[in-house]
Amino acid sequence: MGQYIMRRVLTAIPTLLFISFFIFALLAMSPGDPTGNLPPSIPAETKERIRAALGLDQPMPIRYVKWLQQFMVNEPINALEQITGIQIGNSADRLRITSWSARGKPVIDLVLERLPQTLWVVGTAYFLAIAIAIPVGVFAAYRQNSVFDQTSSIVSVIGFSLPTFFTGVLVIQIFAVWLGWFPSLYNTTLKVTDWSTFAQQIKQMIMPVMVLAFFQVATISRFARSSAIENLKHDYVRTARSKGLGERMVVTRHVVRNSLIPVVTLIALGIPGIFGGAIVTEQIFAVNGIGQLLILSIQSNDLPVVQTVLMIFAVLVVAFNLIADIAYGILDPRIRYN
Amino acid sequence: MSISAGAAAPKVELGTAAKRKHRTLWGDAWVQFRRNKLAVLGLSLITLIVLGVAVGPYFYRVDPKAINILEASVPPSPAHPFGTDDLGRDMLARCLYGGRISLSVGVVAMLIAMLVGTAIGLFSGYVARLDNLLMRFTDMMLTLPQIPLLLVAMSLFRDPLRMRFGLELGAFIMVVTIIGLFGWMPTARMVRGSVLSLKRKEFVEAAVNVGVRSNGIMWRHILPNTLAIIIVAATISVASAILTESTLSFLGLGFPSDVPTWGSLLYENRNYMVKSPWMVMFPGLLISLTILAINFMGDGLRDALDPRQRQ
Repeated sequence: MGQYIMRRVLTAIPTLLFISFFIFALLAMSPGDPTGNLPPSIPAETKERIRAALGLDQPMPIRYVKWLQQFMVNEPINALEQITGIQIGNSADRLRITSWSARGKPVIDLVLERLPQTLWVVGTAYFLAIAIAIPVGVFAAYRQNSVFDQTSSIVSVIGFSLPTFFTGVLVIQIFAVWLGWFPSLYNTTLKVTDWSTFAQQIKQMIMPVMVLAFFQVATISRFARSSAIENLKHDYVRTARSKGLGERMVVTRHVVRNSLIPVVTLIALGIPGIFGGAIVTEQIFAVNGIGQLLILSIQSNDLPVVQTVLMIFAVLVVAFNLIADIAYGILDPRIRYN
Repeated sequence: MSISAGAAAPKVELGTAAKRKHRTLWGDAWVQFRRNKLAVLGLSLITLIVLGVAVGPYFYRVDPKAINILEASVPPSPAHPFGTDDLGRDMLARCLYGGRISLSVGVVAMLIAMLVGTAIGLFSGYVARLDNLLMRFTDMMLTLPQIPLLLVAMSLFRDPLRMRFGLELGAFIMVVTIIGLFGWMPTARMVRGSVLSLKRKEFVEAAVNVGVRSNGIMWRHILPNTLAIIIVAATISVASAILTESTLSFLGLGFPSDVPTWGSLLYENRNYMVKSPWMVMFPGLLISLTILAINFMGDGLRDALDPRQRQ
């Protein structure tokens, strides 16, 4: 097992390097120039000095390595320092990536400010989606071609066909405008201090969570269904039945356990996607999360923030790929010897 | 398969007055496809939408860009079936015009994705030396965080292209290329899998033995046999390209808001969704119906083109 994990980690490193290089090259190749917005009265010589001060006169590989060190070593230490409050090394001398538009505020601070909102909404939606999708998928598989199965598969095709920006609009129209149950916009200044503000927080989270969860339920339940159908055909199910186990036991102890193996992979691999989906829902409901930060900084051409947010997404993707692989290896021992 | 079902196949037979009709691969697939009610529903819906946006503007002769402040924000009525927007432009005309752009983005982006995906899948499946390299590359492309990267790429390269090709064409080239170049990976994997299994089939062995060169085997014998997979992948790819385009436009980074597409109509009217919901409901509904119809159709096609599914 240790060797298997080791091998997985070693293959994750080149992937991460590839993604980071892709992000770096994309932004380096972009036609934009940091001195492009300066007034024309500034002489070309000064502009050249500004570019040199930013390190732009150096060859691309060197810029890439320096940039990588900043992201992979310096900034994580900065973030750790900020969270724990313990000073690590000579932190005053360590470079920080600062935003171009938010008055030179360190990018990590901006991200850490916004991360909790995204995590709350995305996390709740995902847990909810998993809790609904797996029983639905397994039951649909158990009663294949029943009314329940057919309805749930139609609903799930609808679920992943409807774009989240449309379901979002629809949900606002129904629950906020017609019924008036929930506020249509997310109150970003709300601090949870007592029960009533907690209730308010729940209330304003319901709609974004609903929209995100609906899409995920559709994807996961379809997958769980096909995985369970496959497992129900196996010999071990017949063995379990013939040794006298009740149907309930056969399904929950034997079939569900085995059919969850690929589902676990799907769930781990879907996490980066749900963060991508959060960009849209944060835009609709005006949640001040990390997705909104990305859109805002793209609009204001704040490249350091854009790069950082992209890198965070990339690290998430690679990390969850790794987790999916390792989980698969633990759950299905056959994989390890492949 | 029963004879009556065979009779329902389209008349592509060779005109022999035989008692049993000749059956073709595509005829069989069509029979199978027609059994799936949802797939047929999807096909009719998508035909209706395509016909509507293609022919509709010739019958509904209202200028989608004509501003009429006196009739701003009018709810749906006989004069304006989909209502008007905040500048008094007719929403039905805008939806029809926007549909043309949205659907063509879907089709062209799909063509790019299919071209790249099929080529990479074919080469990595057939040429063993390239397999590892190409599949590594595919896997890495799959791990890129798609939507965020698309957003950034759009914002970075939009202006230069717009200057060179004009507002509408520049945006179109941009959107289509980016979506296509980020969407070929699933196709490449599916094609590769199919090529790997086809390579070991007897008919390929026979072709090798009669001395067909590997170029001929690849293009004449293997490629046509992967067509079923490519068709299914293409269907799904159209739906996902339309979805991606409208997501980008909805976030304000696809087509500029003066070029109406279904996504950009949603974007430009998003602030009125509480006061005048028709401005966002109709474009949103059209996107959803299109994608739903294509997905239903894709499910049906997958079953119809897979011979193992036939009884």
